[in-house]
Amino acid sequence: MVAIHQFVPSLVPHDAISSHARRAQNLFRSKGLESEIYTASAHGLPTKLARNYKNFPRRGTSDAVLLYHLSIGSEMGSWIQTRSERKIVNYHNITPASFFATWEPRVTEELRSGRKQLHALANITKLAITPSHFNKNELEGAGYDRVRIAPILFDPVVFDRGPDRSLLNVLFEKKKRGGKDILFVGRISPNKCQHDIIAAFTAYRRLHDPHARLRLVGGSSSPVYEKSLRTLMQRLKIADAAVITGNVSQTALTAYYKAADIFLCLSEHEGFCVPLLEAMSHKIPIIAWNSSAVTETVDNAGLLLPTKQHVIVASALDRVAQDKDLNQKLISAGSARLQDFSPEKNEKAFWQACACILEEKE
Amino acid sequence: MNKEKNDVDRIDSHRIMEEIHREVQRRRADGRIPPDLEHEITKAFREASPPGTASGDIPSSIEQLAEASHFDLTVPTASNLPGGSYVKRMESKVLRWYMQHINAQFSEFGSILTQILRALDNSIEKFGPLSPAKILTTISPPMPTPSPFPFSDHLIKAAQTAPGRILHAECGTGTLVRLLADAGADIYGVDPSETATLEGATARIDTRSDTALAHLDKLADNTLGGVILSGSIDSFSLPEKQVLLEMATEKTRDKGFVGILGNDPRVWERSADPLVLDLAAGKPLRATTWGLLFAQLRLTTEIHESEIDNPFANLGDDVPLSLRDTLQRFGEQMSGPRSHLVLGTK
Repeated sequence: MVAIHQFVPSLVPHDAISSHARRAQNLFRSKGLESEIYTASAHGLPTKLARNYKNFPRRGTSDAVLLYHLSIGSEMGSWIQTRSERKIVNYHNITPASFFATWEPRVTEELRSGRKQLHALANITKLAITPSHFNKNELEGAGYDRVRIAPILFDPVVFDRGPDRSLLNVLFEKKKRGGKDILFVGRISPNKCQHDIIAAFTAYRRLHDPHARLRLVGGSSSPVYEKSLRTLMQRLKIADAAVITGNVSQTALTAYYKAADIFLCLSEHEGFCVPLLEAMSHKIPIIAWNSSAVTETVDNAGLLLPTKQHVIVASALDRVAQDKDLNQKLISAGSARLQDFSPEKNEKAFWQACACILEEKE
Repeated sequence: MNKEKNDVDRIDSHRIMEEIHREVQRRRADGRIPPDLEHEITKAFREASPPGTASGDIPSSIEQLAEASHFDLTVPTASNLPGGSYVKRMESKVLRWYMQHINAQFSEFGSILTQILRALDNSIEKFGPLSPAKILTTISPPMPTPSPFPFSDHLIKAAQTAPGRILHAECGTGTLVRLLADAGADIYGVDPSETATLEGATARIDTRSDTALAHLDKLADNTLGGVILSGSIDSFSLPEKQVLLEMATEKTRDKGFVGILGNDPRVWERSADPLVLDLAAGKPLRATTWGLLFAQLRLTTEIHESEIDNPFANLGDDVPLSLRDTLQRFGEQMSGPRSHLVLGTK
């Protein structure tokens, strides 16, 4: 039986890559293929979902394909290079180390090692799959000559799985006091530039909406950066209006989306950015800094900023908040854009990409 | 599905952002946007960042080190597992004596390190004005800002395509700031003279009191759409000119511009007091020399010069020969380049 096994360095609940791997596994199994997920660590997930990659059979088989999810350097990345099976790299993008250099030197090393592994795998990989043209350019630059674009697998229905009711009540209670709710979802990370969001939000409160609230939802990739963000919020006297939630459950995430008025993304480096699609799914207008893969993921479904000047971003927030026509257009454009990423289309594209390797003889 | 997509109006981000830019300019002009707001926010992030990240302030970095040298021995003991919290509390009790011992040693190490760094910082302070900002405040002689009007077309063209706010350093009362703002540019100015900037602010021009280098030093890299340097940059020494030019380039985004609006050295040599000429730490550079410095910074350079023609160049034969020679020599002295605009695109 032909098998396609996936290798994910780290499986995390509510993580886009982990969720993508599980959906890919279901897809492969539905096509009659044997498919398991192997990992080095499965934080907080049932052990039956994944196996330890060190238990993978030592002897390679010619009818198996190994699909490696690459987003950071890992021992698994070195191990996979030693395998004789046909390999597919599913590249989710590696954040440039420069973003972390002064904040988290330890992470920098992992990112650099990831880049090295990306290059090392180029010549021994049959195919690379990636969700954006931005990533495709990186892959081609790294020496991959066969790259297919296939979006990350997700189900928009999951985005709208019942909200945490008690949290939602609290959020709507605050909304009654007036002011808009600005939201960003993504890990606290220097490349996502939450400090720019806090700065722009401060300008927005001072110039336009003194009752506005900001929610930065997501776990942390950098405790040092997170500490600076919290200090920044205190210095700018917005600590009572802005919150860093940390990791939240899917139901809490839904509650934050439901309470949000505008989704603001000022990230400088994204390989795809699933939260943009979540915002579209929740019918929240998007304002985003025109950068990396954000531009192509948003496409026409958001107000793309050519600058991050705090005052300009604040005015863009005010424009979207006040201009009902523009607000509605952004929501409609978001809903339309989301159709490009329907589960059926995504699965078809992903399967077609993988199938061409499965059909090839070793 | 496609029908629904086609029904959706395109979001013209470019047009909307242009409208937002214009609105921001109006608000700035009306005084509804405090001039120091962005500076205050940027400064807050620098102060909130640890050493080596966004902050360059040595004393505050030393204080952060001192603060970080003390460990909090009260460990979090909450747990989702039954009995987990109890186990953690017991562990923290059992290990407390050990952690206190380690903490005492580490605090002592941190304390000594902090003292050494403070002593070093004090010693550096005693060496006097080492920072470029301090050096620049000691420079002689005052240099007039050349009129921007001969270069207005080039400046407007550069300003209109700048990818962000433009700074005019040493803007005086804000003549150039107003010229470019009226042409639709998003621009502000700084000048060391409080009187001049107050005059500008009274005329609702966004001008602030600051020196060029001190102001640029406060900005994060890649934040401005363009920087125009004029005034005392002409009288800075060559190394100081280079420092300022490098800093302006660092603060400018890709596709942004750096401009030098300067005097031609020949005009300055003719007009300045001989004593000033001898003692001046620096003098204006020729436009082509600026071009060379721009090229070293990998800026794509264009040079524009304002020249005065020799009015006596074509005197007729009806003027006596001796008088004609005298007038032509006089005209040659007075003619030639007067000022220049050197524009470099990043």
